[in-house]
Amino acid sequence: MRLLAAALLLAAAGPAAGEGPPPDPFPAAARSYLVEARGRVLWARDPDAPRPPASLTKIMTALLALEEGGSADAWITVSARAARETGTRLGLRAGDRIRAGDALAATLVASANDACLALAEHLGGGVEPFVARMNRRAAALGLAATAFENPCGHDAPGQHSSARDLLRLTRIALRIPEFRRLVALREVSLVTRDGRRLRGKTGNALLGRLDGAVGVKSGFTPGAGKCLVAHAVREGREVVVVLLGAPDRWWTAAALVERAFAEAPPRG
Amino acid sequence: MRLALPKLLGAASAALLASTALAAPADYEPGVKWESTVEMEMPGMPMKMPPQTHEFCKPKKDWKDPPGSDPKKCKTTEMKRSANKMSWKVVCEGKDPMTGEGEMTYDAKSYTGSMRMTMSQGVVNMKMKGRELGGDCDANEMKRKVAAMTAEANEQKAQGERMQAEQEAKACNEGVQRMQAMAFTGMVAWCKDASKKKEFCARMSTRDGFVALQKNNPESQRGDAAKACGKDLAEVQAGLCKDSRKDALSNQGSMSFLTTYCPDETQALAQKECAGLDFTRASTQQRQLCTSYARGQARKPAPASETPRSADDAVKKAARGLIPGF
Repeated sequence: MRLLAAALLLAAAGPAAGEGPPPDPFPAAARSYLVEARGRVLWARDPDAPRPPASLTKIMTALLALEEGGSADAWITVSARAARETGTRLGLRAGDRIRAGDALAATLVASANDACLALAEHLGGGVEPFVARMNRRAAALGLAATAFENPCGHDAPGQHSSARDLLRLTRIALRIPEFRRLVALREVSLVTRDGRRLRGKTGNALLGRLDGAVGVKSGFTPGAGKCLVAHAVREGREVVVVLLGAPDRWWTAAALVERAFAEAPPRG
Repeated sequence: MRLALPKLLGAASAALLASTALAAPADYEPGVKWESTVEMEMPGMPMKMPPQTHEFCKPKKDWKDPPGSDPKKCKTTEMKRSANKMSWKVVCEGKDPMTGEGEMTYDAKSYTGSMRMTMSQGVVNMKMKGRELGGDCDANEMKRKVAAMTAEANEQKAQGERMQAEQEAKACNEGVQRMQAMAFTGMVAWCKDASKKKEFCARMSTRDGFVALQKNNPESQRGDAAKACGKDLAEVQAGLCKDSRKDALSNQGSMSFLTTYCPDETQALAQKECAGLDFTRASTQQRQLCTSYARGQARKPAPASETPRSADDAVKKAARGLIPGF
C-alpha cells in the first residue's frame, strides 16, 4: 500500500509549464481525459486529440447565450426543425413559445436538444449563423482542436473538440455566475406561453451524490461514447474532470475527483 | 422620651460590648507592650552591627519563654529560674541549625541579659535589654499571624500540587484520546499513570484508537507503541479489517476504515459489490467502496481488445455497461 501510494505520488506529480505532458496514471479512464486541481493539470490522456464532444457542445451554446443573448424573458417560438430534434428532448412542439432563460436552463440541465436548437435559432437568427458564431468564439478562445457543425452536439465529421479545449471552455463559462447556478441544478421546470408545464432532470449523476459536485455537463452519442465535464468544490478547492469516451463515467469521475482532492490538500 | 433615652444608651452600650467581645479572637491572651533592644557581635567581623530595637507583646503572666524566642523554630531547654534571674539553653533546627545559651536579670518593668549562639558560620554574642512600654496587646497575635502565613503557604503549595496533578491528568487523557505514543513509551514518556497506559493500549485495538495512532504518530513510533503494549501492530490492523468487513456496507465508519487501511478486504468486497453497480442506485457506503475500486480499475492499462475501434464498437461497449448480459 505504501509503495503504491509512493508510486501514485511520483506518477501523479503534474509537470509545471514547459516540463512536458502531464502523467497518465489512469489509462483505462477514458479515450481522452484531463484532471485539473487548483489550476494545475494533474493527469491527462490524449488531452489535445480531437474527439466528438457530444452534448458537451452545449457548454459553448450556453456561453454564447449568456454573453450575447439578451433578455432571459424574451419569448422564443419553437420551430418545426427544433421540435423534430432527436436524442434527449424536453417534449416541445412546433409553435410552442418558451422564455429564452428557460430554454437555456433546459439545454444545460436536461440537455434537451429541442430547447437547444430553439435557443440557437433565436440567438443566431438561424442554426447556421449561430454555429458560425460558435466557431468564431472557439477560435477567439484559442480552442485549436474545436470546431462545430451543430449547436447541440450531434455526431458530425466537423464536430469535434479536445479534453483540454473543453477544460478551457468550461473555465471561461464558469466565470459567469448564472452558468454556475444552472449547471448545479438537478431539475428544471418551465411553462410554455399557453400554460403547458414541462420538466427535465439533470443528466449529471454526480450532483447530490458526490461531495462537492456542482456541475457541469454530461453527454453521449454513439460516436463520442460517454462524456462528462465534472466540477467539484470542497473547502475552496476546485477540481475539474473532463472525460471523452469513458467506459463508466460516473464511477471513474468520482474516483478521479476524490484522488485529485487528495493530491491537492487545503492550503495552510 | 426621657425614660427611653437611658434604655437606648444602655442597649447601645451592650451591643457595643457584645460586638467588641465578638471581635476578640478566641485565643486572645492579654499582654503588655514591651520594647527590646538587641546588640549582636560576631568575633572576627570587621564591623559591629548597630543595635536592633523592636516592640513585642509580652503576656501579662510571668516570663514563660525568654524574650525573642520562637518556639516553632527553637526548643528551649534547661530553663532555670530564681527570684529575678533566668538562664536557659536553646536548640534551633532547620536550614541554619544553631545552639545557644542565655541568661537574664529582670523585674516587673525591665530586663537585661545576654546570649551566646553557635552556628555553622561561627559564634554570635548578643546583649539584650528590654523595658515595658505599657498598653494592652494580644500576646498571641504574632503566633496567629505566623500560623496564618504558614497555613496560606501550605494551601498554596497544595494548590500548586493539585494544579500539577490536574495538568498531568489532562496530558495523560489527551495522550489517550490522541493516541500519542510518546506520552506512554520511550525515555521521555510524560504520563506515569499506569491506568492511563492500560487505557492507551486497550484503545489501540479499537478502530478510532488505531486511526488516531496512525494520524498522530510517525511510523517508527507506532511500532514502538504497539510493542510497549505487548501487541503486534499488523495483527491489530488485520483484526480491525476483519471486523470492518462485516458491517462495511451498513456502517460508514467501517467503510471508511476498510477503504483506508484494508486494501485486500476492500478489493475482495469491491469485486463482489461493484461490478455492474449503477452509480445512481448505489448507497453511500457502496459509493465510497466502489469509487475506491474504480480508481484502481482505471489504473489498469486499457486492453487492446477493449479499446473501441469504431463507432459500432463504442455502441456495443457502452451497451454492455448498461445492459447486463449484452
